[in-house]
Amino acid sequence: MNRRDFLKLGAVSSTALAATSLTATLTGCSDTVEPNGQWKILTPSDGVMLAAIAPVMLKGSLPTDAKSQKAAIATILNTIDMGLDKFDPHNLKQVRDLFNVLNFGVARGLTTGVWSKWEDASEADIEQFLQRWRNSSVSLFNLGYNGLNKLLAASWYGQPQAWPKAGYPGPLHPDVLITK
Amino acid sequence: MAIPDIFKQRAQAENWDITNAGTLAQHATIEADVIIIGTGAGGGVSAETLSQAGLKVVMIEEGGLFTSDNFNMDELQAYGDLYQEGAARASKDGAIAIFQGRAVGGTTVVNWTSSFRTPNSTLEHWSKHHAVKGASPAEMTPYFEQMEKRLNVEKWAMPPNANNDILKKGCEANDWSWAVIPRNVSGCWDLGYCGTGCPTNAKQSMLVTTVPEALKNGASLYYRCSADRIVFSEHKAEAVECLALGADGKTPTGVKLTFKAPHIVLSGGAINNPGLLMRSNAPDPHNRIGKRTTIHPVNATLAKMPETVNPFYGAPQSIYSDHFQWNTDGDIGFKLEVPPLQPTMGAQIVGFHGMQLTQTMEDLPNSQSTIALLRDGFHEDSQGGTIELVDGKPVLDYPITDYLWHGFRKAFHVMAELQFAAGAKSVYPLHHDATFYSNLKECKAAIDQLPYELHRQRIMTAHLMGGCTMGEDQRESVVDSQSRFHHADNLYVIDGSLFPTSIGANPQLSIYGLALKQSTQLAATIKQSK
Repeated sequence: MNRRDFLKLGAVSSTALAATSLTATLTGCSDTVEPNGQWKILTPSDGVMLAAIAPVMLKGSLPTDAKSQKAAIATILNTIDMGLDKFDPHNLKQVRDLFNVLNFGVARGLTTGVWSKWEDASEADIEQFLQRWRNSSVSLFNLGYNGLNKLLAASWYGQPQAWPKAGYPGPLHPDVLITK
Repeated sequence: MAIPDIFKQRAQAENWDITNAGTLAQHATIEADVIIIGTGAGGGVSAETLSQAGLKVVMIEEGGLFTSDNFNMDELQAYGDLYQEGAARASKDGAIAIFQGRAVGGTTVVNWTSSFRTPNSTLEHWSKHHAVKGASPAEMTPYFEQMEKRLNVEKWAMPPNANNDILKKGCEANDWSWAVIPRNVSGCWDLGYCGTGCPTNAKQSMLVTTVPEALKNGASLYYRCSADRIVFSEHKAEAVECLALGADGKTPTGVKLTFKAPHIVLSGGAINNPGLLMRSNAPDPHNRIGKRTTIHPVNATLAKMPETVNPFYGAPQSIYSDHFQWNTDGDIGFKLEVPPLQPTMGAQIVGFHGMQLTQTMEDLPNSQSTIALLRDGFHEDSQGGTIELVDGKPVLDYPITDYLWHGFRKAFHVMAELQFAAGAKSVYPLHHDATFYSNLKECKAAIDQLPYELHRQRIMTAHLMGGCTMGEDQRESVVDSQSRFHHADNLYVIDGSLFPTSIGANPQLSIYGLALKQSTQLAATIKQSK
């Protein structure tokens, strides 16, 4: 894909991004229903989307066996939810807009290139989407990539489970200084 | 509990008056001689000074009360408990990450202890260009000296950790000036976890110094108590209406607390002070509230070193260079320092994903990061940002001008030169269109080619200044040189939001010194009027 195609895609996509956000608000289609009590901010759709993106965003770092990976992703999602709960309204709205775009069919397809449901999307599709948003000439997509990237990376590398692979032995003098 | 939690022990032994507003069931009105909103560098020092003068002081803090028993060197816990918006505060457009404290003790609980006096050039600039009176280097010196003594500020006497030593080596190899950073610590264990709350009480933050002293002097502290609105009459601030916050530190419980005093001091910092004044419809005929918010915008490079660095251990900042700070040929000046890299901070600044992120993180023990802190607010093309309210909460709109982009590019060049000169195997300027480059020539060529655009380059700040700037000209400032609000006789602002420009150095000692001067004068004014 050359730069001109990218720009064209960008123009279509950012319009789609804005339109979706608006449509979602107008039609009440945005996924802001109270979740089941497990999370304060994340909706079940957010959970499916983030759980699909996490193994690609964090490829090579998460545990490889299916059961442990699932548990690690559950921990990441819980951490993200706790983090988002600290956000002020402006910051939270930006995340909500981002998640809404990623959650709804046509907007998701146009902006990410992932047309299938998140749970059915292939690793290659998701990797392509991340590259596309990271490298896009539309700054809104760069921002969206940064948001997903920071949330997932911070929520994973904050877990002691992630530390050995990062060569981090953990805090010093834990026996004396850790009191929790 | 091997380390005594001195705050808890003294609170009990000295019967301090501390209230978690979130536990109150009834509305209440509280009266005092002085109300101080905020308990960070500005509020802490003011509380100590005013309580020492025999005045009944009430301190109001929106954040929680966390003390050394709560500080477990755990990034996620600390970011959630001790930082604004869980350490995810950002500028309005999302382009700048903002690290700012939110707890009893304010940002001093989580800062990296670097303690610089306000540079003379900065003080002289304020006098010359911003009509600030009484803050010349000679007039400020005694206050800096007193605060340095109070907070045990001394040049770090131990060897720098490897992370800082690389900064020193890089400067020496290039024949650039560098120096040792003075730190406000007493009995420091050289751990490296200043940013997650000092677990040994070595850091002389407001949490273990001035706030306890004020409490000992009979001051009261209300935490999880969010200042919602100042009630103004003709020329006076009559009261501060506060909302009690529940256990989540965020949701109002419905209980309202009204604080009344003849004198009210705002010490909530450069984002929250303007926010409170705007919510209160404070008089602002010249539209100055929330203007000139400066932030020392930061960019960074990441180097892979041949040796083990372990950038997560050891006093986080002990070496700096001002080689590019003042003689800049019209470009923006910057200070060079290093950040500590614990894994959460490390992972979220690199801007990679997938195997590239994993591999970069696998090299964490051999990684060194250098940061440039741009000295904003000194040039017509760098006027700082503006605070706005969104749903009643303050948000910083900060434009990155071409002048700043030029500064970032220059800083990338300098940091790459520094790291390669110190022996780096490869250097990565934190930017979407860059990667690790294995020699200086290639890296510099790439730096020149980078598109300098929002959201492609990592930009951060941990220094929030301005927004309630001081000066004698009412058309240009919010308060006068003695911190008195131009449009209400008994309302004062005492903290970093006073600064008409950025400092050109980590700001805590600048805040301490100025707060001591302003609060000492305020104490005298109040006693005279009694």
